[in-house]
Amino acid sequence: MKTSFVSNLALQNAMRLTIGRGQNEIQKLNTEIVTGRYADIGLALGAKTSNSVTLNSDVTRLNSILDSNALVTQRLSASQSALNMMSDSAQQMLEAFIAVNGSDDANRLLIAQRDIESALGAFTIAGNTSANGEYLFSGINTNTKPLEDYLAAGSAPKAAFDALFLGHFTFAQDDPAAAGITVAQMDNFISNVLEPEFTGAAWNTDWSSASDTNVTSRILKNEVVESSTNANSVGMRNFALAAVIGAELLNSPISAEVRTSVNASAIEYAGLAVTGIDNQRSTLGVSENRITKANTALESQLRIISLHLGDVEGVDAYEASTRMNSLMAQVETSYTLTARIQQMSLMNYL
Amino acid sequence: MSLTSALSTAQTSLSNYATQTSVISRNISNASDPNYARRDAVLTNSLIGAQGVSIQRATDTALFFRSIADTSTSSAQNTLLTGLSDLKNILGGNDYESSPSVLIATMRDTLATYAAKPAEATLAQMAIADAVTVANGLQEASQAVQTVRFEADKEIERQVDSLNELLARFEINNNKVVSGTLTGKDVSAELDEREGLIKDISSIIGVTQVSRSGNDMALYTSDGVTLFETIARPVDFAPSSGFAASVDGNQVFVDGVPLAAGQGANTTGRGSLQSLIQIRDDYAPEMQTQLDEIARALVVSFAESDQSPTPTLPDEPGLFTWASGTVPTGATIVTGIASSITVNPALIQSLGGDPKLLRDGGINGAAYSSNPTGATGYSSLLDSYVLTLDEPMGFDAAAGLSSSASLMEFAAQSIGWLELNRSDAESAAESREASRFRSVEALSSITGVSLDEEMSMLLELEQSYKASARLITAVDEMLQALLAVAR
Repeated sequence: MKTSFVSNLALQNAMRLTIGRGQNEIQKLNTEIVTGRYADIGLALGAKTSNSVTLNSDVTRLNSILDSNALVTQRLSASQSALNMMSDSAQQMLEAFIAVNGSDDANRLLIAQRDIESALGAFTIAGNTSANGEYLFSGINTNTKPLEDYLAAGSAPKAAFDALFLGHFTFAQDDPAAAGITVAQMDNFISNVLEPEFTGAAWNTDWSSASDTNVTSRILKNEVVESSTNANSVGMRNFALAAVIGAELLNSPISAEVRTSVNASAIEYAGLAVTGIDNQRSTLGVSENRITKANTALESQLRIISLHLGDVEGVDAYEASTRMNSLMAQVETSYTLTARIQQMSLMNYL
Repeated sequence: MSLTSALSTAQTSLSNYATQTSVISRNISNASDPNYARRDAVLTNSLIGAQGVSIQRATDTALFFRSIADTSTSSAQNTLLTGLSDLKNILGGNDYESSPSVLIATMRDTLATYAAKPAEATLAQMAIADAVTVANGLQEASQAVQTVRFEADKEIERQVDSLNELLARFEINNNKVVSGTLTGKDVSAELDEREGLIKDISSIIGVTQVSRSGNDMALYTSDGVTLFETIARPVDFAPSSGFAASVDGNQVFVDGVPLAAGQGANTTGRGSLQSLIQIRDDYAPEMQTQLDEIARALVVSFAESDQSPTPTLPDEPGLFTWASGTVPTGATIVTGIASSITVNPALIQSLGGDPKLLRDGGINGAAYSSNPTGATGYSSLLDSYVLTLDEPMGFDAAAGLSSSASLMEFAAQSIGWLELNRSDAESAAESREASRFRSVEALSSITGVSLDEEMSMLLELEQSYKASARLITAVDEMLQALLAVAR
C-alpha cells in the first residue's frame, strides 16, 4: 500500500530546475550589468533586432560622414586661405596699376611692373596650393597642377602671348615700333584678340590644367556640396589677363595715351579679378556654412539615435543588480534546502 | 484450531514476510532508477483461506501518457532551438559582426570615405578589401548554412538508426511481456524496461501507445502511422552525401509514409526528428534564399551600365560578380548566388587589376567608364554606390521578407527574421522543458520509491516477523509441556 505521494527521486530533483534556471539567469544578469546591454539581444528583442542592427549601422554611417566632413572642412579652409592670398595679390596689383595711372615715368613703371609680377607670382603659388596630396584649384583633376607659372623661363603662356602680339602687330611688344600703335589699335588688340585668349578655350591649353567640374562631397545623407573651386573661374582668368597686360604692355615702348588706355583696361580687369575671387570665397563660405550646419544636424541625430539605441537594447543596471541580488538569495536558499532535504531520512533515526 | 495449525500459519507468515522483505529490498536498491516503478507486496487471501503475497506494480497511465507527450514536445523544441542557434552563430555574437548587414555597412562607410577623398589609392584598396570581406562573408555564411543542413541530415540518420534499434528491442521486450502475462509470471521488470523504451522512442518521434489485451501494446506516431504493432515497422532514410542551395534533403519514411516537418518556431513537431527535418528543409533553406537575395542585390547595385550617349551594351557586373558573370534581371531569387559571389578580379591589385576602376567605372571596357578622363577628384560614381545601398529595390517575396526595401534594410530584416524565430523557440523551449520536468516529477512521485516509506514498512515487517517467531517458540514450549505431561 502506498501512503506517501513523494518519491526519493522526485525529492532529490525538486530543486534542480530552480537552481539551474537561477544560475543561468545570474550568468546573464552578470553580463548585462557589466555591458549595460541585453546579454543576448536577439533573444530579448526578437523581430525588433533588425531595428537595433539598423540603428547601429546608422551610428557608424553618421560617424563616417562626420569624419569625412572634417576632411572636407580642412580642404575648404585651405582653399579659403589660398583664395585670401589671391585676393590680396589682386588688390596689390590693382594698387600698382592705379599708382602709375597717367604716369609715364620709366622708374615708376618699372616698379609697378615688378609689383605686378610679384603679385602674379604669389597668385600662381596660391593657385597651385595642395593639401593632403590634392591640388585645391584643379577641380576634379586633383593630381594635376592647375596653373602654369607665367614667369618661369620658357613658359607656355608667355610664349603664347608673344606669338599673339607678334602675329597681330608683326613686331614684338618691346620693339621701338610699338610707339606707333594707336589707342584704337591697342584697344582692339586687348578686347578682341587678347581677351578671348583668356575667356575662351585657349585658357585651358596655355594656362590651366584644371577641370571645370568641382569636387563634390556628401555632407549629410541627403546633401551634397561643392567642396572645391577651380582655376578656370572668371576671377582667376581676369587676374591673369590683368597681370599679363601689366607685365608685358605697361612698360613697353608705347605712347603715353596708349599707356593710359592700357592702364585703364588693366584696372578694369584687375577689378573684375578682385570681385571674381571674392565671389569664389563666398561660394566656398556657403559650403563651409552648410558643413557646420550639417555637423550640428549629424551630432543631434547621433545623440537621438544613441538615446534610442539605449532604449532598444539597453538594460537598466539598477533593476538588473536588484534582480541579481534577489536571484542569488533564491539560489542560496535552494542550495540550503537541497542540503537539508538530502539529510532528511528516516535512516538517521533508526 | 490446533497447535499444529497455529504453527503452520506462523510458518506461512514467515515465508510471506520473507517475500515482502525481498520486494522492499528490491525497491530500495532501485530507488534511484528513474525507469523503475515501485512494487508493492500485498497480502491476499485465497478462496480456501490460504494467505499469499501478490506483487503489484505502481502505475499511473494518465500521468505516464502526459510525461511521454511532454518529453517529445520538449525534445522537438530543444532540437529546433539548437538548430536556430547554430544558424544565428553564423551571424556572429551580440553585434552580429559577421552578418552580411554589418559587413555591408562597413564597406559602405569605407566607400563613403573614399568618395570624400577619391584621389587616395589607399582608400581604394581599403574599399576593395572591405568588399572582399563582404563577398567572403556571404560565401562563408552560405557554406555554414549548408553545413547546418548537412549536420542535421547526419543527425537524422543517427536518430533513425537508433529509432530502428529501439523498436527492435521494443519488439523483443513486448513479446516477453505478452508471453509472461499469459503464463502468469511477474513481468514487472519487463514492464519497466518497456516504459523506458517508450520514453527513449518518444524523444526521437512522438508516439501514442495503445494497450491491448494480454498486456500487449501497439505504438503509433502522433500522425497515426504505425510504428509497432506485433512487429516493429521499418523507418527508412537515405542520407545525402552533401548539401548545396539547390539540393533538397531526402524524406524519412515511417512504414512507407513520409514524416512531416514541424511547423513554426513554437514547433508543431513531436520528437527531435521532425525538428531536424524542419531545420534542414525550412529554416536553413529560407536563410539561404535571403543570403542569395542579398548577394543578388549586391551584384545588381554595383553593376555597370553603358555610359555612351546612346547606350547599346547590356549591364555588366561591377564591383561584385558571381559564377555566371552576368547581372541578374528582375526581383527573382538566383539560387546559390551567395556561394559564388566574389569581388571582380579586374579591381584586385594582387590579381593584376586596378582598384581605381571602382572610382572611375569601366571595368567592362571604356564604354562603361563614367570618368573617361580619369580625373582623380571624381566622386559621383562612388557616391551613387553609397546611395544605392540605402535606396529601395525589389526583392523576391519568396525570401519571406519585404519585397521592396533597401539592401541595408533587407539585410537587417533577415537578422530580425532569424531572431524572431530563435526568441520564440527559446521561450517555448523554456516552458515546454518546465512542463516536461513537472510531469516527469509527478510521475516519479507516484511510481518512484520513497526510502522512508520502505524503511517504515521494513520496521513493521521486522516486528511482525519477531511476533511470528515468538509464536513458534510459544507453540514449541506448549508442545514440550504437553509431551512432558504425556511422558
